[in-house]
Amino acid sequence: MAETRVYMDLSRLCLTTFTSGIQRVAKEIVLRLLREPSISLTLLADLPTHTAWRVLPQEAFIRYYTEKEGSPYGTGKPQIIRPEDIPTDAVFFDIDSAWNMPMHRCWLFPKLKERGVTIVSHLYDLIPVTEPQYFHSMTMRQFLSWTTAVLQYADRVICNAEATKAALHTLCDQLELAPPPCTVIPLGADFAKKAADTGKLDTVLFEKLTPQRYLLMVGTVEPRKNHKLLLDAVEPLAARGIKVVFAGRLGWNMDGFAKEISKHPKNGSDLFFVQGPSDATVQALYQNALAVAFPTKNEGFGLPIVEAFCNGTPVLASDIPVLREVGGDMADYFDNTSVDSLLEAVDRLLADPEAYQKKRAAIAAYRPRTWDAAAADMAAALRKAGSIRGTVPADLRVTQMVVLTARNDDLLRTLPYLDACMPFIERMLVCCPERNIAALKEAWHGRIRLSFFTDEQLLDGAELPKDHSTRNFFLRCLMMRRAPLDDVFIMTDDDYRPLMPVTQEVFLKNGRYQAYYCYDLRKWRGTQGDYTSFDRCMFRTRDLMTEHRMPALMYASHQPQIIDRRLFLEMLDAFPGVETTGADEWGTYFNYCIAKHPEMFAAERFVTTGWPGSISDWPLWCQPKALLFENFYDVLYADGKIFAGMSSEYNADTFAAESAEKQRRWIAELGKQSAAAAQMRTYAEMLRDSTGRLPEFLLTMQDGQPVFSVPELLYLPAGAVTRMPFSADPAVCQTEIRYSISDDRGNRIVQERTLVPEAVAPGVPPELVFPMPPYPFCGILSLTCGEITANCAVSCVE
Amino acid sequence: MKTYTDDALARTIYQLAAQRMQAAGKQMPCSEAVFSVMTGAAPDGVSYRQIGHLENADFLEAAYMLLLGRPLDEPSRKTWQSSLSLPKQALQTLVLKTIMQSGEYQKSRIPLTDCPFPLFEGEQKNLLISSQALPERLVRIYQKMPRFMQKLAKKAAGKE
Repeated sequence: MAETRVYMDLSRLCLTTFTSGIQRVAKEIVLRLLREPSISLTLLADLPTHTAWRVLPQEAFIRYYTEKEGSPYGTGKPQIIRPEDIPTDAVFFDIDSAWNMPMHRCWLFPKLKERGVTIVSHLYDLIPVTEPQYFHSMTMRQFLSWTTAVLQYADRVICNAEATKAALHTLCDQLELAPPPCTVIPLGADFAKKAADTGKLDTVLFEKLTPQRYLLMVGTVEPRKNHKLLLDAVEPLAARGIKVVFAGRLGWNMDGFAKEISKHPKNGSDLFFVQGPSDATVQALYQNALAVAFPTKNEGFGLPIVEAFCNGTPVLASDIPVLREVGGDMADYFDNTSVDSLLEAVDRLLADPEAYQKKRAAIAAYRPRTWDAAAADMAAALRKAGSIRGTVPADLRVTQMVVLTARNDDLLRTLPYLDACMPFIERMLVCCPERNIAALKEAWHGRIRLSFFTDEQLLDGAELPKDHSTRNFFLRCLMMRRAPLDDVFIMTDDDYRPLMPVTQEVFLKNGRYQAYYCYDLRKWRGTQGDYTSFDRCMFRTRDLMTEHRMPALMYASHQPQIIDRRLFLEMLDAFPGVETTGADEWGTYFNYCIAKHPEMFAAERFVTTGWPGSISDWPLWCQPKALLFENFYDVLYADGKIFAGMSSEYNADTFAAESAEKQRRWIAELGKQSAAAAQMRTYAEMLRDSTGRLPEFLLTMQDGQPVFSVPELLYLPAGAVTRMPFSADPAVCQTEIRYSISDDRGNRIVQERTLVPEAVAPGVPPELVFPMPPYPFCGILSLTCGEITANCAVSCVE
Repeated sequence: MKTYTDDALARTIYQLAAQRMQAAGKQMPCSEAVFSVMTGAAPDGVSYRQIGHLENADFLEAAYMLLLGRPLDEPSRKTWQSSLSLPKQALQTLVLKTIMQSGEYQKSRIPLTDCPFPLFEGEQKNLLISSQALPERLVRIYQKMPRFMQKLAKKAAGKE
């Protein structure tokens, strides 16, 4: 059986010094899932940035939570994982109190979802939504926000009780939302027995209590638990010879309740409040109570009922569905708004001593559900959630490659690479002008068989759009409708070259099409001030995806991609007329498919060099996952360029060695960019620590005059493009800002550039762009806005 | 069945909770606008664009939530009450400056970006060596030191 990869964020559990409530559940389940062979578990804890996690070493985690030794974080250098690093075939499972975590789920879940990661959320209850008055304002706000994320993004929800599932369905009905699939898994309750002699027995208390002549209420005192009802019943209970004992911590907003007890005339005689009782006291209280009272207004599960049964004690519980579900026939129930109803339940226990003793005997035989059973059910649910993917037939063979080109030379230089490295490709459909066909037929005699579809056949009288990107999408749409394509094929360009042997698994793995992305469209800035056709196409695609509430990754990765023609046509039907809107074909197709058919697609980081053409063209949003292809540019082979001295033609004898060298050089360049980004982060953090702000530029109006506000010293990494935020007062947004950088000898290092804040594309923040040379220098950044100028010292560092 | 944007769904859930609070005779602890801002916030920084449009009272509440990670407490609410009638930018400058110069903020250090008006013009150097940039505990220890030790500590820190 294949392992299901599961990632769990346990940030709250690791922060909590005591384990009770949710953290106790998380601990018990995780310790057992770690032993489950069908689950490969990665445990995570939040980093101070709240945008990434550290991986918790499993041995350290187990030792800490079983033997109370060391720390759950371990001692070595932590492995860091960002949301983007979670594999697309993995399950992200929240069992901890995720609503309390600084890494908000409304921020995290869309990031996981747009790449196809399965999200499973454990829902303990919905009480902060249904009865918010019982919660601290912070908890309530965080919970409402978390509920939003769960309803919007979770693929499956696990509840502990049918009542919670019903509450979820009721909420979805009210919101007119389709509820997420929900599995009910009751909690375990066979907690490791605490030694009866743990802590000191409160003998003074027991001197005042008679066995089976008091009601016990255990747990943190908080409004929702409805201690008040039992307090109101103290006098009538005293009249029956029954005392009341509250045992637990005083919770949020309950100081008034503590005062009420202390002033109560029966306090110390018929009423007792034991704050922070020892385990020995709690156990003795349980065993000697007439019954445990549980007048709670609402619960997610009701573990106190199970604990009472485990101690052989009868239970009087609120008559609410979740407690009926947990207490079954063994508990007695009362109306939690009526003291009389509680008293009637007590009277029933007192009325027939023989029946009461029989009840105790029956409860003594109670055996709680085990954590092993709960964890086994949880593992099954996770396996099920993880297996909803991979529905592309396992025996599917992809043999066709398709290219749209007008450049014979480029295609003929690329074909030998494809022929040698992609043995599963048997045929290539070339969509090209009629006039190119004869020359191609004459020149190519390789293994891959070429067939042709002419531009004339493709267009069939249709007029080509003028814009380059719009034309691309338009042509590909025609191709999908008219060309003799296989249902599934590899789409490529005439200059995408493999760097090593590539198997079909690169494109179709574990029953899922691999979709290679290279950027987040929402982060794409483009060539500010002079947007290219490509930039505008990306902005349009971003807007289209946002409008339809779909993921918005950039799939223009400049490498071959696998296409399912049927899904492409389905996408066209979903967006009528999209082929003429100038959106990006792959961005539209893959984001649509990830949203609509997540079980068939996995979004993976791109695997190509040469995109961007030069590594200093723009900062990468993510680094390539591997380097399997080269987006070929002749210019990169010129003297002084990255592939200088290497052959740009296929040569079977030198191919392997040259490919390895190309990868090595490209990785070194990527490393430089990472180092530059790290330098900028350090600089930004230094500035943030001293001023609370990141390095940025402002143009404000003061006394009717524009005034610049700039950092005193700007660090810029050599050999990289750095972008700095620029904010302008609306009054000066239309003004042109000019800026340039000169070195300390007056040589112009960055030629004058312009920025008009208002002319920046919608959704893109205005920025100053600094492409720096690959050597260090000191200089001055000059900014002008009309007659206003500002200078800033620049230190360009390696 | 409906489809919602994240913000629309968050606001609808907020409204449901608000109805329940009202039925229980209570009020929501923050406005819908502040809740919406909080739900849409990134965990690693606050953009002024997210909060700049808010009315003064909401801006104050949101600034506390996003920059300090906690709701506005009652004593602070009372302190700010008289400033809420200030013009928007004046209030915003005051709130942001006060928060970001507080010892509490030095712990959260959540960066603010895109603020279109300067908060610390001419004050950056002072901030670098101000006691507020140091953990409060260190400052307390420093204050209890004999004078000669304070001098040594300053020298070690390169401040003298």
